[in-house]
Amino acid sequence: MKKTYEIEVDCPVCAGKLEKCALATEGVESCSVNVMTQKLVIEAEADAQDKIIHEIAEKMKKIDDDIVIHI
Amino acid sequence: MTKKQKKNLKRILISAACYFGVTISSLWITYPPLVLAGLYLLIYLYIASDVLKRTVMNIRNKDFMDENFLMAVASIGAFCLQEYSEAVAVMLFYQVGEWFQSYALDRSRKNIAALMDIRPEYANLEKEGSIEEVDPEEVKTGDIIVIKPGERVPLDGVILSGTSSMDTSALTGESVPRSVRPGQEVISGCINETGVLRVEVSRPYENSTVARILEMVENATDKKSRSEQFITKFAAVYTPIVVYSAIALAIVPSLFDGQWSTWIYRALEFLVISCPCALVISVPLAFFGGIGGASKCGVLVKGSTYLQDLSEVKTMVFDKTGTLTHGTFEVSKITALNMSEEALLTLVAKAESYSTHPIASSILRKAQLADPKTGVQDVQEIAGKGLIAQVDGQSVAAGNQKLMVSLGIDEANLIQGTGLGTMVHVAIDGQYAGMIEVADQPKAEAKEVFANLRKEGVNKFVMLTGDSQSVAQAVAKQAGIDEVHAQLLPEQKVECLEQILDSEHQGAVVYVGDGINDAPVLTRADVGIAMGGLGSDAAIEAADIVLMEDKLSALVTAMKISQKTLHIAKENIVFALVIKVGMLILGAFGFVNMWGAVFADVGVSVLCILNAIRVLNVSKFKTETH
Repeated sequence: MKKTYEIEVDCPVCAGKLEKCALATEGVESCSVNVMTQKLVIEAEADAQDKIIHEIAEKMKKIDDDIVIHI
Repeated sequence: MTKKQKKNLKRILISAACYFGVTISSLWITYPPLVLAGLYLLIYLYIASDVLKRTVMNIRNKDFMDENFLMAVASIGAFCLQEYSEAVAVMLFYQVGEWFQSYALDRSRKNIAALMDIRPEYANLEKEGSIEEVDPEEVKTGDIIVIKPGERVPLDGVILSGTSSMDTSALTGESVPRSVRPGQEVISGCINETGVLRVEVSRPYENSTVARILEMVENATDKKSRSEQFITKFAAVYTPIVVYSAIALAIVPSLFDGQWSTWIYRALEFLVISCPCALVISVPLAFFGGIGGASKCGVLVKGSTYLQDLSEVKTMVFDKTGTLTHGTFEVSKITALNMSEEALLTLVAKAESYSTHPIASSILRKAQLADPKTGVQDVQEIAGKGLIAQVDGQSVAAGNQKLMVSLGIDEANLIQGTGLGTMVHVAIDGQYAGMIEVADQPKAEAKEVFANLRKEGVNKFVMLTGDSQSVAQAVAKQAGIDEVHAQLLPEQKVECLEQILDSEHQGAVVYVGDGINDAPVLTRADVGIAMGGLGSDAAIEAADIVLMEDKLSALVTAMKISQKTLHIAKENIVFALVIKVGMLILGAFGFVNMWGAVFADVGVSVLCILNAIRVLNVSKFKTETH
């Protein structure tokens, strides 16, 4: 299942970090970060979505706290 | 302004005030050197806090080659060289630039997003006599919704009662409203202008026109164009090269002349100038703007890459029926013997008045009789031949050659038509009376559109059709087509296109069709364009670009927008690279100070962003082509 989250990223470099981080998270089948529409799309099992997005948000705080994910 | 921008603005203003306070007061007051250094250090730590924090994070994550690192190294370096005031000023200037960049980007993103915002907020659901405002996603097929004047149609459906006019401009770019009546379909995303409509919903929200269009346009930037891919690849090799050059610049000359501080300082400037932000952000923004601007004109583009391909197109391949012609039959010629053309048309129209055949309806449309069915009796349809009916006491036979022969009329006496359409021969009381020719009319605008497309760089027009050679040639001649392939079966159309793709080496090949029965050809072309996509799922699915309205002139609009987008993207690439390379060289020889270096970074970014927004100014393309 694909789920879309609103995010705040300023540049493609930060978007790249987020994408890398999301892909490295267990359970994520695919993901895309769109700087222009400010959206993060995560494809994963429906019941794992919640856990995954929290894990990504947690990891991103340590990588780049400038990126905001609206959960 | 976002929360983050407000916070950063406050920090910039406070530290700017402190910085100028200290600097100006130091003109009168002689601070002890350590105190002055301490004051500057405090301001520096405040203004640079986020940059420093992110640098530490990046180093910890072993992925530190970004502008934070470059700025941190440059400003800390300046501190080490005891250039306190300059270190603070440069960081302050950098933050101001970053702030402008963020603000400009945010604004332009919102402007573009607003262009595409056709999302309905709510639906008025009718429930046991009362009306309730609900989320469009909650409405099911078969539910009844009420649409008031001024509201956006939330879901696709069929009108049960009410008449109104619809503003379809958000979907089609067409400013003339369409009038709608009960029994007609309404399309989500349009705006209801005048009357209250009761509508039965025909599709759930996720399959509605508006949801599909939004999904398509929003995901369009995922399909990256070659220019964008180039920039990504470029940035990956660019940053390491710059960093190693900076290290070399700091060390090598110093080994010869021993002026370490001068060369280290130049190396730091070199780092600041080199930030690739301007490139990395402004090229995708130009494409995003192009896609947004195009959708405003009723042209849906499914990916940045198609916008780039379209701008470079040299060969355009067209389907005939429904694309170069109207796809509907119209009376093109009437020849009557021993009576007026009008009288013949009236008689035939009456005889055909009970028929639903497309040819019959074209004759009825032409005749425009108030009451065609009066005086018509004994209508007898003869399959594969035509029909015979009693009209006002006369026996009227209308049909093909076979029908005439069966009535005992000599084949040699029949009038020959132009060969471009279908012939309806007429006999009255057994006597041959003339013929009416019905043909699919070529679109009048084709010729002008092709001339305009040639101006935009297209040099070859090809037509593929299943129709006969003579009809194809006539349409081609009228429109100005260079190459015709007629009598093709659907699968032969694909083969034919493949041959064209193989022989075309310079630019992209575009195929334009109506998307109804040529989906394989649409997908095979470099860029598949479907015309008149409004309401047609097949077209939206198969094509790369969808022209919402059935107008050839939209092709010119689409092409102009694509070229403008590419032009701006290239302008940004060249502008940013020239300034950066120039400043890098000047910096290496010591002709640029740190201020110039920061300008080369953030200043160039802001200028590129502002330039990218120009692509939104597309309204002029529309008016030119009408």
